[in-house]
Amino acid sequence: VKTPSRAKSVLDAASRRHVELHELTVTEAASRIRAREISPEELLEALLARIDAVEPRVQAWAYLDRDGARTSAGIAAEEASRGIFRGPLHGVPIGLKDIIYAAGIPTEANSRVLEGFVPSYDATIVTRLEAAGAVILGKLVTAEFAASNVGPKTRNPWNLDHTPGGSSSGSAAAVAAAMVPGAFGSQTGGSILRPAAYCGIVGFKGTYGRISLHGVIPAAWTQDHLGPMTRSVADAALLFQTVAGHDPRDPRSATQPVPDCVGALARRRPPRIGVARAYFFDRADREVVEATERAVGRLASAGADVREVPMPSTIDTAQALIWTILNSEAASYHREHLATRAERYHPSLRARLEVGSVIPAECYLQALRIRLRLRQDVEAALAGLDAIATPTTPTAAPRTLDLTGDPVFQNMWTLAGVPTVTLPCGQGSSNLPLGLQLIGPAFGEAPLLSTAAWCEDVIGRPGIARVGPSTGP
Amino acid sequence: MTVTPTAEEITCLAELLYEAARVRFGEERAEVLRPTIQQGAEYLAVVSSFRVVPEDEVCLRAPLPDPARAVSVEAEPGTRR
Repeated sequence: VKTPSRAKSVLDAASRRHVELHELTVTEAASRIRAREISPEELLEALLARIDAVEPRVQAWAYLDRDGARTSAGIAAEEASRGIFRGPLHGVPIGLKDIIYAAGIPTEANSRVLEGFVPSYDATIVTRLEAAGAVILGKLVTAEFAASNVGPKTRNPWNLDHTPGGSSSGSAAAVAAAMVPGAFGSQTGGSILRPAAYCGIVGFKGTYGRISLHGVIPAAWTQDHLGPMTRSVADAALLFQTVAGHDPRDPRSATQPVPDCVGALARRRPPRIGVARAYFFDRADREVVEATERAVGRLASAGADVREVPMPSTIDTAQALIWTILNSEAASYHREHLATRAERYHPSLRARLEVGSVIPAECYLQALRIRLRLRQDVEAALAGLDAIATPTTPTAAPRTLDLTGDPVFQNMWTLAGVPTVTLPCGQGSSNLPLGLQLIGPAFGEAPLLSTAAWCEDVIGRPGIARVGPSTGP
Repeated sequence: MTVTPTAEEITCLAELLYEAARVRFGEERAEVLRPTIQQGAEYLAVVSSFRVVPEDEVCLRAPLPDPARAVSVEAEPGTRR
């Protein structure tokens, strides 16, 4: 029986409505709201139902603002019914790492030091998200002050016995488990890309200074980056585009115009990719090396120009630089808290902050000088390439909830301040995802995201985590 | 360029950190900090032993904001519940 076209389109629409709404990406959700196929309230309720179903096992949220989100979604729905759309994220719920200020919402940075603290103003990133129509759903768990490697309560939704990584633990886990379509995390060493890779999602950070840090609790203010964590490269581009750009309230903020990252995705072409096998493969375990080789092989087969690239020797200093810079700067920020409530920190973070407070100035300044040299070396390594590709992490997510894993494959790029992105590239043992990291030149976010989107087309996307039961410690 | 510090350099930095911690936090606390001090000394020794000669310090080709100019002006505690 041939279905009449009118009836078919009604059936198609009905079928699309019955797609699990919580599984929509940011881009899909925004598009369907704008087409009035779904309302912001429907989407929010679907996400809240998903949270009710899986949050007791994943524990990604530090504070879920059900009432505030319902109020915002109601306003967005009413505006949409009148054809008013505030921006590209109209009615789309977004989560924030719990170091980002949102007025009236508790911000405790997973520390007893800030217990009960409620900021009175919004971070610039929150202002920009809301101006674009986003609904702030709540705050996501962080490792303490985004500066500790001690695991918070959050579990990896692909396998609950494993860490989701950190410090943006909740952001990665919530997006992977489809409790929210997109979230923001922060990276001072490897805190966006590592958890994103462990949880099988896309994590992106732009060039240092691209996203304002006004209203964000610092870990190390010359190293901190904010960035989107999503289930597609297109979503990462959209969220980055929405919040990036100069902010006079942040003196670190870059003044360079933000490129059209979303538009750049339409100009996908086979990229020139450098692979640093000698450095990274020697430090990764077998399943990571094999997954990376498979992914790179598929990219080459699809037309990418893949070549070996040597790494500069300065990257050998990255761990030492991160330790010196992070602990010096964190000790400075925490000076008052350390003097008045030191016992409220986790013992390991307290010890690092205390030792950080006695690092000789000469060592800190020497670290800054070496970092400049490292930046030059990284820029030189990227010459003639669209991106360098590496495994995102040396292993899949470790089987522990006590620690957050190793940022050793991110530190050098974060120090260099260049844009980086991770996308899922396979599945390892224990049902755990693996990531492919792409690194581009400073202020080259648009071509890097275009390259990442091309790679995503070739490699594919893993879908959402189904969140099974824990098998115990 | 040297990035492999000697044991003597590490010991020297560990003693420096320990003495500073003892003066600042007291002997009992400095003892608690010994493992972190030892780890830190190993990292600081790498930093200290890396030679950066002035001619290396040419400007970056990409105009990154200079983080050395940055000051910590982020979030200050606002209202409390």
